[in-house]
Amino acid sequence: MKLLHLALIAGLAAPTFSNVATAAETYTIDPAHVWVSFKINHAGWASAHGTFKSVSGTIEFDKDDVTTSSVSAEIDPNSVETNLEQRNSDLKSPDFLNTGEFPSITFESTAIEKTGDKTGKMTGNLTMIGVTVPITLDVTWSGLEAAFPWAPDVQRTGFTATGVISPAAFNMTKVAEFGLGPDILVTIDVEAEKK
Amino acid sequence: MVVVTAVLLLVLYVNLEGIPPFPPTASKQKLTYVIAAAALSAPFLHRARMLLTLCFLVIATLWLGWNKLGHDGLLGLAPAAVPVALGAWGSRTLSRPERGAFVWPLALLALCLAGAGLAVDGVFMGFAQVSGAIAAFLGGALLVGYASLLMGRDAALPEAVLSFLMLSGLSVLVVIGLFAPEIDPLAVAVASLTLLMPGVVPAFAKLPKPVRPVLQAILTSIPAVAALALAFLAH
Repeated sequence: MKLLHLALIAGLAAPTFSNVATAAETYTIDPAHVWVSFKINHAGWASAHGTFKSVSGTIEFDKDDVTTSSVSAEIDPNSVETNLEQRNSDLKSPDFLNTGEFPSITFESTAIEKTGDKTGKMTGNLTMIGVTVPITLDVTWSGLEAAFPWAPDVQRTGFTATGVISPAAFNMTKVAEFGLGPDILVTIDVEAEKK
Repeated sequence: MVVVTAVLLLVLYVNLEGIPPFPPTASKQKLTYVIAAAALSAPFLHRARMLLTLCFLVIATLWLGWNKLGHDGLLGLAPAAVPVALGAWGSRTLSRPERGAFVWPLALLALCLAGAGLAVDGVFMGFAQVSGAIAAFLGGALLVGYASLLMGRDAALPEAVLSFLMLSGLSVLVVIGLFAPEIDPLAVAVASLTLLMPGVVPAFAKLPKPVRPVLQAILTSIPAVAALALAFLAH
C-alpha cells in the first residue's frame, strides 16, 4: 500500500517537475538583428553615438515566470563603430575599451524582476576591461513570437533593454578627461531565434 | 636620487592615469608597480648589468603583456622583443662615461620622444602623454646639465637614475608597442635602436665642450626620427 502511494506521488510529480524544467525556452541572439548602441555626452555640445557590430549570446526565456529567465551575451569590442575610423581606434586603445588586452565584453544576468505585463528589470554582471560591475537594465518584451515566411520553422521574438553604465566604475579615467560623460546610456534591441 | 626621481615619476604617472587598483588588471595599471620595482632594482643593477636588466625587462614584459599572452600566445609579445633585447644590450654602456655625461640622457630623451610620437600615431593618447612627460623630465635635466656645463661645472645624472629612467621609459614603450591599436611594430623596433647610440656616438673630444652634446644629440636622435618617419609613412 505504501509502495503504491509512493508510486502514485512519483507519477503525479514527474510531469509537474518536467513542466517546470522545460518552461524556460532557449533563444539564440540573431547576430544580424541585434543593435547594441550607446551614447555619451560630448563636452556638453551633443551626444556621441556608437554601436557594437558583433554580438552573440543566448536567452533562456520563460514567458510564464520571467524571474526564472536568464541572459548571457558576449560583445566583441573590436567591432565598435562610431562613424569615424580614428575615433573607433581611439576607443579600442587602452585609454578606453583596451581591446588588445580584453577582447570581449560579457554580460551574465543574475536576477530578473517582473515590473509589468511585458516589462521587467534585469540585473547582471557586466565584465569589461577586466572589471566586473553589476548593472540593471529595463527590459521590454515585444510580446510577439513569429517566424519569417521563408523560415517558418524558426520562431523568433524580440526585446529592448536600456540602462546606464558608469565608466568610472570600470576605471575608465580618460572618459572624463576627454570631456565625455559622466555616464553612458545603453540601448539594446535584439531579436532571438528559438532553438 | 633614484627615490626622488621615482616619486616624481610616480606622481606624474598617477596624475595622468589615476591611482591603480590592487591587484591591477590592465597593463597601464601594472606599469605603476613596474616603475616602483624599477626604482627598487636600479641601484643594484650595476653588477652583471646586462643579465639583470634583461631579467627585469623580460619579467616586466611578461607581466605587462600577460592578458595578450593568454589570447595570442608568445607571438603576441613579439613587438616587445627588440626593445627588451636592445635595452639589455645597451645597458652595458651605462657605466662607461668616456663619451660624456650627456649621451645616455640624450638617448633616453630621444627614446621617450619617439615613444610619444609613436603612441600618437598608434592612437594611444594616454601613453603619448606618459612618454612625453618622461621626455619633458629628461629635457629639464638636460637643460640644467647643459647650463652647468656652460658655467664650467659637470652635472651628470647618477648611473642608478639613468638605469631607472631607462627601465621606466622602455617599459612605457613596451606597453605602447603591445597595445596601441594602430602601432607599427617595426617603428617600435627602430625607436629602440636609440639605446645603442650611447655606445656608438663619438665623444667629439677635440671639439669645445658645449658643442659635443649638441652633435651627440643630433646623432642620437637619428633612430627616433627614422622610427617616426616609418610610422607616419605606414599610415
